[in-house]
Amino acid sequence: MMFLSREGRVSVAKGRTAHGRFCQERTGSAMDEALAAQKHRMRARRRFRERRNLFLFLLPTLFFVVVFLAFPLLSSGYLSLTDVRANIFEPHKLIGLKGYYQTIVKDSFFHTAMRNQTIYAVSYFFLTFSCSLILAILINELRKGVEILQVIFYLPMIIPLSIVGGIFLWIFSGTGNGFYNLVLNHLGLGQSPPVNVYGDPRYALFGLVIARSWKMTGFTLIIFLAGLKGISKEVREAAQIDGASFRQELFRVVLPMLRPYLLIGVVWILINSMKEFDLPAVMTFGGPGTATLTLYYRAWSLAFEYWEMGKSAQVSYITALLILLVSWVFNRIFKPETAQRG
Amino acid sequence: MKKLLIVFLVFLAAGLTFATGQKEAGGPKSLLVAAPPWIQKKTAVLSAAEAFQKAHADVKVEIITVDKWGGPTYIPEWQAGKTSFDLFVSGTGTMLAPLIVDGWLEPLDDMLTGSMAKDKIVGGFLSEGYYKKPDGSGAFYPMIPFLGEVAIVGINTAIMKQAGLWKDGPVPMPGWDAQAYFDWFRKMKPFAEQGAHVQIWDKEFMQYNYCAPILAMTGTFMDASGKGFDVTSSAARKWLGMIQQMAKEKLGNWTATDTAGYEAWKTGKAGSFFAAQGHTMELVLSAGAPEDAIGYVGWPGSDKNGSIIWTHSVWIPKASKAKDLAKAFIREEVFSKDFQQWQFNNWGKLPTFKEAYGSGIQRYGEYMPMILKVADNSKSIPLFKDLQTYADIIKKYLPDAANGRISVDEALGKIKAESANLDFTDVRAK
Repeated sequence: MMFLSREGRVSVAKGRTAHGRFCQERTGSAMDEALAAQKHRMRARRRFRERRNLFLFLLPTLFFVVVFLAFPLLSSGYLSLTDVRANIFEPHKLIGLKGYYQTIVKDSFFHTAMRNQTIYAVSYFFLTFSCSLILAILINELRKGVEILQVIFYLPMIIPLSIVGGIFLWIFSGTGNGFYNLVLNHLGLGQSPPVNVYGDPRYALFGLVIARSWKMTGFTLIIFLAGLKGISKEVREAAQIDGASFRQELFRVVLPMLRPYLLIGVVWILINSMKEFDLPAVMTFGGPGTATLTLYYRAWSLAFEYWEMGKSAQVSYITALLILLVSWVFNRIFKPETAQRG
Repeated sequence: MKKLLIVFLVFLAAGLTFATGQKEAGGPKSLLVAAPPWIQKKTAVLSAAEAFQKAHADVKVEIITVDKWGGPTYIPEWQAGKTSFDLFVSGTGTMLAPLIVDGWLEPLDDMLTGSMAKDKIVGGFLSEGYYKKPDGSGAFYPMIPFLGEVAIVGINTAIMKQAGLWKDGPVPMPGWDAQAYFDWFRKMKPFAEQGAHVQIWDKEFMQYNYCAPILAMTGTFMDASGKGFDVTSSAARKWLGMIQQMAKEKLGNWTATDTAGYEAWKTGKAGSFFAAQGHTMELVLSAGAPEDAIGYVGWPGSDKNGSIIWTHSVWIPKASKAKDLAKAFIREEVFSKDFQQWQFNNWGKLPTFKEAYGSGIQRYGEYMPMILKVADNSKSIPLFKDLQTYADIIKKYLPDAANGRISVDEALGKIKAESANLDFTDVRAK
C-alpha cells in the first residue's frame, strides 16, 4: 500500500492487504491529485502553526502597544473634542473643534508657550546641531583617540534629564556657590547679587537650552560621525588632488554626502526640542513668570494643576501635529535620494 | 516548542492577573491609611498606626504611600463603589477642591465635639476645612486640618545682631512708614550676601507673600470688588512699590522657585526669609545650624490682622467601609497632643490643636505665643473656581513688577484686566 507520510514522502507499506491491492488498482492521476491535496493541506497546517506561533510571541508586545499606546492615543483624541475636566468618566459634552479654536486663538498662556517653544526649538537646534557637527568633523580628522572621545561625548546621554537639571541648577546657582558664579568671581567679573540664570526671565529659557544641549549633543555626534566614517577616503583624496581646500572639501564633498545622516540628526533634534517638559518641571516650573512655559509643560499643567483633561489633550495633539509638520518639512528639504555618494 | 509556549502563556496570564489586581480597602477590622512620603517623614503617622493597633488589638492598620497630588485619580474607583484607602492624611484645599465639589468626601462635622470641639482647634486653621455643600444647602467640614503653616518672617539672629537689630530679642519691623521700613532692611544689607530679605515668588508662595503684608496693613487682601486679590487699593500699590524699591536697592531676593529660596536661606547669609514658619525652622536645622540661629517677627499689624495660613487635612472618602475606624484614628491619634507636638518639635509643622501649644513644645517656645496669636487671626487664600488661571496671571506680571521690568501700575492693571472674566466663586464657606 502506498501512503503519504507526514513529511510528504511516498512510502510503500509492507504486505498486501485488500485495501492495498485496491490502491494499486487506482489510476495514476487520481493518486497524484490525492497526494497533491494532502501536500496542500499539510502546507496549510504548517503555515497556520507558524502564524499562530508568531502571533503568540507578538501578543505581549501587541498588548503593550494597544493598551499603552493605541488606546491612550485614541481616547485622548476623543477627550480633546469634549469639555471633560477632572473625571474622564463623568458625563461630558462633545464640543468638537471648538475647544481647539479656544486654545489656539484665545488662550494667552498657549500663545506664550508657543512663543517660548519656538525660541527654545530654534536655539536648541542651532546649538546642538552646530556643536555635534563641528565636533564630529573635528573628531573624524583625528588619527588617535577617536573612540575615547566618542565615549566622553556620549556619556551625558546616560544621565537622566532630571539629574541634568539638578546639575545645571547648581552650575548656574544664584547663591554664588554655583560653578558659573565662582568662575566669574575668580576672573574678577563677579556680580552682586550673583547672576541667577534660572531666576531671570531673560536668561532662564536659554539656560534650559544649554542644559539639554549638553546632554543630547553626544547622540547626534555619534550619528554624524558614523556618516563621516562612511564617506569613502578615495573621494576625499580625489578632491584634494583636484586642489580643493579643506573648506571646499567640507562643503562640496563631505556635507552633501552626509545628507541622509544630517536628516536623521535634524529630525531627532527638532522632535526633542518640541518635547521639553522634564527640565522646566525640575528646574523652573515654567517660571520665572512664564519665561520657561513650554507646550508640554502647559499640557501637564492643564491636566494636573487645572484638572482640565480635555484642554490638556488639545494642547498635546496640537504639539504632536506641529512635530509631524516639522518632520515632514525637513524630510522634504533633506530628501535622501538627492544626496550623492561616491 | 509547544510546551514552552504553553508555559509562557501561563506565566503571562498569571502576571497580568496579579498586576491588575488591586488591594481594596478592607472591611471593618482593617484600616488603610494613605499618606504621601513627606507626611510619613514629617508627622508621627507611622508611630500613630502602631499605637492604634496596640490600643485596638483586633484592628490592623496599614500605611500606604501615595502621591501627594493624586486626589482626582481616585474618582474612577469611587464610582465603582470601591476605595484603596479609608483615610488620607494630607491634602490642601487646592488638591481637594475637585473632590469636595463633586461630593466624594465624607462629612466630618460630627467629629468636632468633645476633645475635638471647634474651640479646641486654632480658628484660622479650622476655617480652611469649612466648605459649601455640593448641593448648595449649607456648609460642612469634609476635612479637618491637622497641620498648619503660617507665613511669617524668619530672621537670622546673627545678622540681626551684627546689624544692631537685637535687644533681648529681634527688633520688630517699625511699621509701614517707608523710610523706617527700608532702614530696617538697609541695616542688614552689609551683612547679608543673599539679601536682607528673601521671598519665594513661585506660583504658590507668591500668592501668600503678596497678600500677607497687605492683610497685615489693612485687615484684608481681597479686592474691594470681591474679584481676586487687592490690585487696586493704595495699600496694594504701596506694597508692590516697596518690593520694587527693595529689589532696586538689592535689599531683597525674589526667587522664582521654592528651591532657590530655600537655598538662599540655608546658606545662612540672608537677613530674613518670608515663608512658612515650619520651612524657616526646618531648613536651618537641616543645614546643621543651632536653634538660636533663627527667630521670628511678624509683619507690622499681623498680630491683629493675621497672616496667610494654609493647612493639610485628614479626610475620608465616602466609599470607605471603615469610616468609624478612620474617625477613631483621627480622634485618638492625629488629634492627640503627642502627635501634634511631634510634628512641631521635629519639623516645625504647627499643631492645629490648641492644647498642643503648651508644655511639651521643645523649640522656639518664646515665639509660640506670637505665632499662635497671628495664626488664630489669620486667613487662607480663597479657593476661587478659576484659582489656577488667576495664579498663572499673577505669576506672569508680579515678578516682572517686583524686579522693575514693568511698572507697578502696569502690572496691577494687567492683572485686573486679564482676570476680569474669571470665576471668583469661593468653594469654601465663611
